[in-house]
Amino acid sequence: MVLPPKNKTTKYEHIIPQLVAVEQNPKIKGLLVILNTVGGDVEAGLAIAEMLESMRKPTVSLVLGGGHSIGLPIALACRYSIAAETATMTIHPLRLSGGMIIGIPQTFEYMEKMQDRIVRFITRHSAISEQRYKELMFRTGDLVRDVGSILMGREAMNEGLINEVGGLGTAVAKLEELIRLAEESQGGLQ
Amino acid sequence: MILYTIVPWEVIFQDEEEIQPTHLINAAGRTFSVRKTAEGDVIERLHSTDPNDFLDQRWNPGNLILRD
Repeated sequence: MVLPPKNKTTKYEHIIPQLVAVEQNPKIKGLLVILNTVGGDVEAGLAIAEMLESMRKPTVSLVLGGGHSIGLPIALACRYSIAAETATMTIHPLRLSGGMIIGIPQTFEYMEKMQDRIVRFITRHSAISEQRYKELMFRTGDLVRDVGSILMGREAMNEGLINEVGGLGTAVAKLEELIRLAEESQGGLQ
Repeated sequence: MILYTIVPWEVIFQDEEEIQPTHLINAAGRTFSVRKTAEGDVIERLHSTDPNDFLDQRWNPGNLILRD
């Protein structure tokens, strides 16, 4: 399902084939993913993150402004993740919203499974432990209307989520470095 | 649908009924889902099996397809 167009500026059904093209196109050496998102559809977000993590080409992510909710797995899916000093990332429990909710215990089990997918993805792609991540996720008092926590760039780095605090220059330099390393290792194999 | 966002759902679903229907059209040898507007057909989605089509700025969602 796609969110109402007025709430959506990026379309994952357009981005997924773009990533396929980036991976296949010999003219493209690497990918810089610039994120500024409030989050959204879990399936769409995780699909993009899964695509990014499985790419052979060097990928670097840069979080500017916000990389909230499902934006975080996308940032971590890249080989190297960078966030601006003032960028914020919100970590909170998953929410079921919109439409009719079937009020049976299995619904909650399903939600827990979906939540686990995100937690597993994040802990696999960063240095944070599952226990610490859940601690941040279920924290109260940090968010006004919600359960969870907000991390600024440096805090996210100290928690082991992102690799580095920086900006566009840092990100481009890192990507160039990764491309150079990839080319060198390829040259060595031949 | 499960959402993972900091945006409250009242904001996300505030005027869902306003969504306009999309039409499937063929243009430039490709298939598009478009919204009909006064200015022309606005691309909602590109349907193509060639991944490189999706890197072409002309077929980005939100762009206009000029009527022949």
